[in-house]
Amino acid sequence: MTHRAVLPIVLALSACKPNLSEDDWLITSARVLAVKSEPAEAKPGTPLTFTALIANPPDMSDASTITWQFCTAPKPPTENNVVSAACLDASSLVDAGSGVSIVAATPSNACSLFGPNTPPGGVRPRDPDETGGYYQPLRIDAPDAVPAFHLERVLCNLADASFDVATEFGKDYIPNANPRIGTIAATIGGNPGSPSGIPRGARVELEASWTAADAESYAYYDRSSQTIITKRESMRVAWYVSSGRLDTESTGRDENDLSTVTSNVWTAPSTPGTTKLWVVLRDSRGGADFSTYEVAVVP
Amino acid sequence: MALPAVSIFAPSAAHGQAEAGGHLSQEPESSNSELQPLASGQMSPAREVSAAPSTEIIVRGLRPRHDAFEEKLSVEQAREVSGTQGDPVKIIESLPGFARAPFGSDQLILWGAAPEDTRLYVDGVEIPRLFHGSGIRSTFNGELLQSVALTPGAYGADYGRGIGGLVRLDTRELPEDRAHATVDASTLDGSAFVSAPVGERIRVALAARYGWLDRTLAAVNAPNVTDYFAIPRYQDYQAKVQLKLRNRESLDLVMLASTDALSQNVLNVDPARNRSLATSNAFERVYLRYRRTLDDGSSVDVVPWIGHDESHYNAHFGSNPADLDQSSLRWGLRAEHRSHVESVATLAMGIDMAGTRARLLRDGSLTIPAREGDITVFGQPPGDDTNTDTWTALVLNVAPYASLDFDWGPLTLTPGLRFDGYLLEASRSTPRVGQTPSIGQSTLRAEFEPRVSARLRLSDHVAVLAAAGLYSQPPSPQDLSAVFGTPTLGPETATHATLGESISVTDSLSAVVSGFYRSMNHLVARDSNTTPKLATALLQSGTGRSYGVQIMLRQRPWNGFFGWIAYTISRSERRDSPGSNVRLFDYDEPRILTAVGSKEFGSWKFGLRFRYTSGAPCTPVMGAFYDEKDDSYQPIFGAHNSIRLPAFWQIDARVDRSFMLSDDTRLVVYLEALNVTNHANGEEYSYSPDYTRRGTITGLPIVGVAGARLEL
Repeated sequence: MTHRAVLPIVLALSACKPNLSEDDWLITSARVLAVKSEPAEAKPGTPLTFTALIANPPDMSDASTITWQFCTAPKPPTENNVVSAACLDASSLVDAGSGVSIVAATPSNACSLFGPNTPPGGVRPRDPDETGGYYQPLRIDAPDAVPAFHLERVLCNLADASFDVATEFGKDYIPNANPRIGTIAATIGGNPGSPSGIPRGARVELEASWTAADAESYAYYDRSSQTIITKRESMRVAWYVSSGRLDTESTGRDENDLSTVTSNVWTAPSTPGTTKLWVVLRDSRGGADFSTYEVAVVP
Repeated sequence: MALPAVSIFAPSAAHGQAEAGGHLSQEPESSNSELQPLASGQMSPAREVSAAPSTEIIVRGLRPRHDAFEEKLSVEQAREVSGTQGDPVKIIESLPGFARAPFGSDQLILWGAAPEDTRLYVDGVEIPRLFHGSGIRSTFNGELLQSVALTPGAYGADYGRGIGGLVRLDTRELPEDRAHATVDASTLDGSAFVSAPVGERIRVALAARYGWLDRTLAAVNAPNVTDYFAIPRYQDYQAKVQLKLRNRESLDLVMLASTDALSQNVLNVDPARNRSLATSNAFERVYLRYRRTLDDGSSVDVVPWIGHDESHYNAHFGSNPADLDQSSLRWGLRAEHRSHVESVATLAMGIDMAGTRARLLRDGSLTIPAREGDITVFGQPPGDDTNTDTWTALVLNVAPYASLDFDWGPLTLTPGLRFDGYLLEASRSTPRVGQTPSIGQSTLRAEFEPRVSARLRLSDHVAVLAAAGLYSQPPSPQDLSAVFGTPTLGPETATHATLGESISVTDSLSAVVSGFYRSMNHLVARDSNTTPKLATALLQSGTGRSYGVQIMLRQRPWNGFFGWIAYTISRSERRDSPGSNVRLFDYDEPRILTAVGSKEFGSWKFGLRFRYTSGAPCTPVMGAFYDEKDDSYQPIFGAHNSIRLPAFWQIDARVDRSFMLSDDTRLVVYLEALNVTNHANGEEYSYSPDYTRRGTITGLPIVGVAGARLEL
């Protein structure tokens, strides 16, 4: 006798879930997937190299169609979105360059606009994210792609702490560095798979790795204890393919997990051809690295 | 003449009945009998007196407390209504003026007021929650209740600290004859009640309830019900001791306790996409109630009370936390003296005091917990901005009041005046920086609140009702943080005005048409500036208004049938700051139709309830952009609250059968089916990760609740 027969009085005869497929990992059109800045964190006004990972651009012959603009509008603390709605308006955007890769200096007033440095007059300082970071929004527009925002972490002084604590923080804090993707391993049924010949319909286990040093420890100002503590970065990998099916769009390790690998499963398409695989590794302080692979699916 | 439920029977056709706040529907012939007045505010089962024809009956008593637009039901009647699952307090969901709360919430939305604007009382003692989480059950066992009263607005001067409506639960007099017990078990929960006299002067009652719905659903593997809506674990306990002092003098000791716990976890292989929510709430109250009715008919009612509230809200969106913990010591005193003034008026004078000393800790996102007016969509993570604060707050209210019930022929006029004095303190006026000493904030505010209600009987069958007044409420201790709120907040204020007509179609069939208007000022809203001032995350610049008309056609018990049809048309708007646009209130439901009926056939009772409400407003998503840092899309919103969820309708049915097992023992077996047509009601819009597709989350499908109740 089943539980259902024992207790027929609670009936739930239909589902509550809407049927919305979540195949965010499938790339079928132009899309900005990631941006890497080098260095990953610097003081405002420092020239940085920004490089975008753009999937399926319709035409790469004219790189000037990819535009970059700094947003100068701070976000009201009441908004859930990461950038102000005004950053979608041209009046709050400042040209930063064009092309897949640009060199641009973050605005020198970034710590005032988006950080803890406030003008006189009793204004509330910006609130940091859970890693203590402040970010300058940078908008990227690519043809046929949804607008994307990169949040560039800016190095600001600690403004809402005592002098001693702020001094200690200034000595202890090491600016973020981008992580590096180690290897991407592919196995089929426990055996190594070759990118040049993945059988159609095969279940391929993908494993991304990084080094232990990539998950950096960093000084963090704990506002509840008003002291400096040490935190560790969490790591995430976003996976994208042009065909086939991924089990999930992203995997990772939280800050307490010392493992340096994470895996996903890609089911190859049932028709032979070439599939693109994009892998983006991010740390929780805004650092990133990415790689693109081509995989041949064979009969 | 208005009396607590007293029925007077004469052998001839003469038959009069007086109801609380009502009038003798037919004057009895004369009698020389005299009824002793009941204690003030005391409601007892109908008292019957036999009288010979042509005898004069003189009945003396103070007019019981009654708001002009109050709907009051006895517990026995409320229990039989479909959709209540035998919980008499849930009857208020079917009364006019009550908007349907979002599924899975326990919020009370009355005449367009925010849930936190409505005050809840048991015997005049304020409690923080009327329902256990998700609104499944009330926090008070119905076995100890005498009546449930709902006033959506424009209530009298004896209550305050709220700019919305009023819900009052009155505990019942414990039986003197013998011990009684009730055991109730259903798929939702189990409860037990026992009362017994101890000697001639003392009566004792105990009640307890324990919820097990979460385990019931798990046992039957109910698909998907708990994916979006968490089912809480809940318990509540009550104890009442009644001590009879002298004649018409009593002292009650009552203890209440309620706890709720709820948790949901959505795990993901990507730690940034993990979601978890754990909430718990508890409150306890202990109060004494001293009542005495003097020989001249005047009465004294004194209720000192003390209690404790505790709540924990701990949410995690990836590594982004949102924690809010609150622990509050609550205390208060309500004392009232009611007396005759000549023979045409009743004067009530009293004092209503309440204090809250709260300790709070908040950590994490600035935008969670959400506030009314926040623009968001289902499942959207909160903003990345985080902070932390620990603070204490004191909210003290002292409110002397007076009202006069004046009977002048067909006119009953009740002017009243309430003086609300507030002391509001926060431990910090600015955020903590280093070891800087705490500089507190203290605010003294006073609000004079004249209130008036009137009833004009145009004929034996028609009366015009009106009520109006000024109201205020103190800020929540949660809003007095220097980091997440504003320590200098003062009271929010409102003006209520209502006008209606009551028509007695027959002795038992009546209709009431009422219009209402409520304007609200100094409402607390988030500061939407990009650069807000320090320690002013909240501003008190919000305004609002709600207005509408409601019609209620009510059949009182007649040949085993009772029921009502209630229809409300309303609109509720808010403006968060003087320069912002007027928007719809988040809970605005312009049309609410409720039809309730219950019919008795011997030992069988059948009940039906139909509810229709407009869908709640929501904000459309017009597009999205990609947040590269968090690898997620962020919605681009259209006009605030410019679309609505689909309208809601549902039919609930109930059947119960009574078995008399002995002279003193009765078994009632009941089965209730919620949403018998299995209609898929849209409760929320949900979006695909890139916001290009929209779906609708539907509420509960057909759900059956079965149980049995044994009365000894």
